[in-house]
Amino acid sequence: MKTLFQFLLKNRFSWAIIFITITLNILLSEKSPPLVFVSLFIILTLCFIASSLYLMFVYRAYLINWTTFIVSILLLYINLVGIDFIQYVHGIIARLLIMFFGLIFLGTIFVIGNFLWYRDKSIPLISWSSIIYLWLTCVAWKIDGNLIHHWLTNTGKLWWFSPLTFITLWIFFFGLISFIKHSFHIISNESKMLPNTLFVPPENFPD
Amino acid sequence: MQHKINIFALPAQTTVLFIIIVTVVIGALILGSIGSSPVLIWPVALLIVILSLRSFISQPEKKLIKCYKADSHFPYLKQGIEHYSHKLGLKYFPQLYISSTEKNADVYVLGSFCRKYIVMTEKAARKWEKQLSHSHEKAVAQAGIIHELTHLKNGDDWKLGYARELLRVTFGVMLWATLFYSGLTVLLMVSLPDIVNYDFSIVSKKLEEQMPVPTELSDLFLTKMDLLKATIRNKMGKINFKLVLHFIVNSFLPFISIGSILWLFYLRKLRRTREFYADARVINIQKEIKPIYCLLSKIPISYLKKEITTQAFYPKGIKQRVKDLLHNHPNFNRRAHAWLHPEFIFDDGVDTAILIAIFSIIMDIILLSPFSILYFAEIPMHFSMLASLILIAIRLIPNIATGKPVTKELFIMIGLFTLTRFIITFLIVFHFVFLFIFAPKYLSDMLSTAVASFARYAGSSTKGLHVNILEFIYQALYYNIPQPLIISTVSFVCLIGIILMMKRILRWYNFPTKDNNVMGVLYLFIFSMCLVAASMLKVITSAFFNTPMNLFFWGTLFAIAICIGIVMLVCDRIYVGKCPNPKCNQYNSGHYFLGKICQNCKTPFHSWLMV
Repeated sequence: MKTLFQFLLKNRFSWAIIFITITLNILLSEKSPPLVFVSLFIILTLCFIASSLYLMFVYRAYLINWTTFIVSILLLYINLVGIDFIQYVHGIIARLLIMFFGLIFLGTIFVIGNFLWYRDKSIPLISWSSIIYLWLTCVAWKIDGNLIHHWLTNTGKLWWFSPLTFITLWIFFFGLISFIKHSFHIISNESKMLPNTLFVPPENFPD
Repeated sequence: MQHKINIFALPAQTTVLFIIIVTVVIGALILGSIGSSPVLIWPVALLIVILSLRSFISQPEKKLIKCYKADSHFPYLKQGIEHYSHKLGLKYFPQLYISSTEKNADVYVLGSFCRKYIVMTEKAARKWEKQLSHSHEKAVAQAGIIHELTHLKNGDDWKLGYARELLRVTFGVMLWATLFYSGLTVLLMVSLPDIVNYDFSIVSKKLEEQMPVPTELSDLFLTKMDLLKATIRNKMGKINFKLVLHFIVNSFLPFISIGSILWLFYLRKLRRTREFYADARVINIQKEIKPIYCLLSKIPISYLKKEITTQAFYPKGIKQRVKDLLHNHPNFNRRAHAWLHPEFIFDDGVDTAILIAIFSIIMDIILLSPFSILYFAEIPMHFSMLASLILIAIRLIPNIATGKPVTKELFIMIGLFTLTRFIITFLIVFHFVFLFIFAPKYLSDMLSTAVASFARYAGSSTKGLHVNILEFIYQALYYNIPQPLIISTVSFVCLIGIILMMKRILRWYNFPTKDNNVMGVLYLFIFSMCLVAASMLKVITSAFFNTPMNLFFWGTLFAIAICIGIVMLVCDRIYVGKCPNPKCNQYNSGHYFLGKICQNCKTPFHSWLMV
């Protein structure tokens, strides 16, 4: 967590982009903004997302720990729950929220994928998430009635169920890739009589 | 001159223990996967096999996280490891790793199939490096190196590693399977009534509101859905979900309990036994006891003036036996005792009886669970008894080879084993009688549920079967109480036959004994005797002639055993009592004992059995 915090503090470039993008958003709230502003807004938003993802990719070794992983899952969950409420908000706030949620979504998906790519934790994750999902589906069915009907007609009342399905599917997807990747790595190293190089977390965050 | 037995020529105890652990778990899973059942068992079996292998291959490095490779440090140590690896003929040379923590043992080995590691703490590595550079202390460090390399030579690293991972994975997967299948059953219980009563025309109308759908397509969709609902309704009527839940819990949870027993007793026993073999190899190579004694007692070799001696009998009280049973490492005194008397590596009658009784309980838990009860309902005790018989026969080989009396050991083993079985059977039957007297209604309900859910048709039975409890109690008493006694008597007679035959086979002095072929003949004999016992029992049960497949299978087994018997009879005519010296070929009468020589030319018989 400390590492993540340090990571956010140390990248002034990201903060500058965030600041400019927010300012531009406020300027864009006028009814007919100049075309230059619109173009600049699109370019800067893309830069913002790209730079954030780039920085995450460069410092990915510092994001491979259980704390970051769990925080990411929780953030993704809150994010997915939050997305449902965007339809009730309009104007500048809605635009900022979409950008904010979009970035969090990409960032958390990156962290989850990154964690499972480097660490062989797919089996416990898939097994436990499948059990949790199955039993929560039972609870959801008991509370909300026919879930198939709600799914087909989009009339579900449970705000927590759809994000849960979404996260479980992501975990299954990344977990499966991670399982195949690590299995291949293990078998290949065994046949070559090489030790399995495991991920070792770095001790200090670079300046 | 007193001859010492070569323990490496006899059945390896570590291999026997490894086979027990793996066979109990994987064998039961394979049995459970055959035939139909309310829930799919084969995916669980497949998952356990794949995950245990994967986990086993990947586990050494997980334990090497806080270790570093000894690249250029400790040259003497590395040289020593290389030298003795060559000498012991290791296929894969180990790599030396230094542990930066002092949590684990000072020195230990890790490995998968092809990758081998020796891990040492820095302190131990420095100590051994120093000892190797001093001529008078050199032998102590060498003893340590040989000891660790022997673990690799004997395959202790992969036997222990795989057994441990198998039990760990079985525990996790079975817990997962119980929760997953229970969740799935509960979900079906909750959702199916809603699904079969659902009107899919709502969906069709909703779709038509959003986009134009052809009427034919909509009708086809509704027809298909009605068909699906009818199928589900039809199948659902036959399923009793509560019984399915009962089946799931009673099938998967016993694996957790037997896994715990195997972990608690057999894995520890495997850990202890491998140390004796490693010690024996050290003495075999160094031709002296002092270095290994100094290594383990941490006494400097220069302080040890006297010769090490121990008495011929190692006393063991009940307290000591219980302590030994739960320890990961053997008691030092017992270890030192086995250096001078290698035959003490093999457990005595009491210890063997305890382990076999535990094994038999494990087998009963598995065989009487819904997993396999369908196959063994008529002969529940037979298979555990058969497996125990094999173990007792293998255990008696060292006694027969050394020419020691076996009757006392046999009586102790069969007696203790029968007593344990009798106590367990008595407790179960007593429990039924108690319920019959004080809570007959509860007993009736319990039996109805048990009978219906324990069988493979649990999922398709709507009601529990009605059981006449008076008849049940009578049958329970009539069939179960005499069973341990009858089966034990039969086993005793069978074992006496096996012992006599094994003694006879050991008299095949002229048999081509390149390495230890006679031992192979002994294993083959025990195996064929068990085939006979298994097929004989099948013959006397009424189920034998049920299907041509049954007849063919058991008939073939019986025929194989008979063929083996005929071949052995011919061999007996050729080899029995004949001197292996081609120039002598004199007939020698009397039983074999360790160190026996030809009366004519003084050629020792079965020299591979002696150190």
